[in-house]
Amino acid sequence: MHLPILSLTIFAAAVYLPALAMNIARKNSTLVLLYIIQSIAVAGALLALSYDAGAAGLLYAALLTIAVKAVMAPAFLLRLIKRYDARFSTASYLNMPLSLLALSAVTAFSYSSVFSVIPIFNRSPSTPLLIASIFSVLFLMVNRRGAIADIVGVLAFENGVVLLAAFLGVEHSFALEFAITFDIAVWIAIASAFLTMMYRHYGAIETAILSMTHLTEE
Amino acid sequence: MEWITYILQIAIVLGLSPMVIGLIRKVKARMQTRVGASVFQPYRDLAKLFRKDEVISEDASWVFRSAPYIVFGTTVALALGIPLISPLSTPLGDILVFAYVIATGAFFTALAGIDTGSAFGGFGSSREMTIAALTEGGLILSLFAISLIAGTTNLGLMPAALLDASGRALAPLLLALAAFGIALLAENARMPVDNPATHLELTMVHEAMILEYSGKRLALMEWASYNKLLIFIAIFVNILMPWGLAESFAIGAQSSALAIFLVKVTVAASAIALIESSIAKLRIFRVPDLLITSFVLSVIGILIIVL
Repeated sequence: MHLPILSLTIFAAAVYLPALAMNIARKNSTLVLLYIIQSIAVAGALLALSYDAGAAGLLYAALLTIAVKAVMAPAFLLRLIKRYDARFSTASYLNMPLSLLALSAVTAFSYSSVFSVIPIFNRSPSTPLLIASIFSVLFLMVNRRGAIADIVGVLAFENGVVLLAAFLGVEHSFALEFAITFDIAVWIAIASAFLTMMYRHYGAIETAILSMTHLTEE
Repeated sequence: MEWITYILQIAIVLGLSPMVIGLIRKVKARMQTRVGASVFQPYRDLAKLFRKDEVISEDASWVFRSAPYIVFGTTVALALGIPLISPLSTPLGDILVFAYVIATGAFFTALAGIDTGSAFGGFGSSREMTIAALTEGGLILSLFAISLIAGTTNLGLMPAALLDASGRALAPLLLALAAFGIALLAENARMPVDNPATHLELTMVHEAMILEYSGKRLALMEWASYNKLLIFIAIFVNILMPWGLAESFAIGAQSSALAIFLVKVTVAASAIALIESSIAKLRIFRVPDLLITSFVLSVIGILIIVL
């Protein structure tokens, strides 16, 4: 991988900043929009890698990433939001100031010497930024009570992992990217079925308002 | 030749600031499918107020009488330190001087609000001081994060320094600008912190403090608030888009820099109008959440730079 540091940092920032903003956003549609921005950044990184390596396979992978992550998955998520009338995802375990303090701690940890075992950690500013984005979306999944936020969190987590792997020099091929996008499609189908079952059984998709009467087996 | 730049800086801020307000109001009106007043309406309002007589309460002290001049003076002083159309270095451009001159203006506005003993002015001042105290941290830290990237604490020199910044600075710069953007809205009594168009007692903050003013002093207070908004916008746009500043005192260079600056300000003013049209005002006890967000975004930006 020979992409210039500036391009890598731009792509990493385009993944990290939406990950941070996801923790601040209160509308589920905003979460989906931020995920689209992240996905476009990942597709852009794959395009740059394909141009750099002269690999047509990665070009197809980038196009597939746009189709699945920036079009299909968001459309599916927006349909779920509409179907379950889950426009807002305000409930979280920590309030906003504490959540933000936790995010600053997470970012500081991502820059700590713990990760210096990663070969290019000290040479590339994008590596700690991507680690921070992965931790930020992990925090989103843990902190939010809404199922939509959790689903978006898992998808955003995958974006961070894919880009980190690409930047660390893990070999990317069309087959690998095809498998990843196939995995995403399967994950969305499972999540959708899970949400449907959850809604039918408990009458809600947010743990804060689950009907306690349905929590025991009859 | 520097004195020409200083005169130009003051002339641009004083001359352009009412139009920025007019533009924001016009864009907001268009978004509400109204024709709206002309972008020059704030000039007419100021001219009308300057011609009117004043009514001053018998209980008003020298604080109430002198506050408009002090507040207006702070904005003129700030105009000398900010990057507008060319880089310049004055002590007034230091980030701490900037923050505390802003705070001086807010302090005298709040004092004037409580000076006449009006209940409206009192609660407006109380709210203003609460918001100002919470905004200050985010404002100073966001400017500090930008100064760490630029390598200078002088606002006038920051845009030129940022042109040479490394790619590593991108994420912290955007975080600092997001924090500064929140501080911009809060310091200038814009939505979602305050509604500049309302005179409803439950929602007023800035308007409550200047409710006792009339005539020339009201004109100065209004003009000072217009200037302050333009000063914040100028800093924001010239740090976000640091290109297009004049590199010489030649008329051609200054004219093209002014044209580019006008485009940047138009974009920023339209963005503010868009934000104000698309979000509701926050309840007063939800405002700290937003302002703490500004503070923590700056902290994260600083952490990324320092670590």
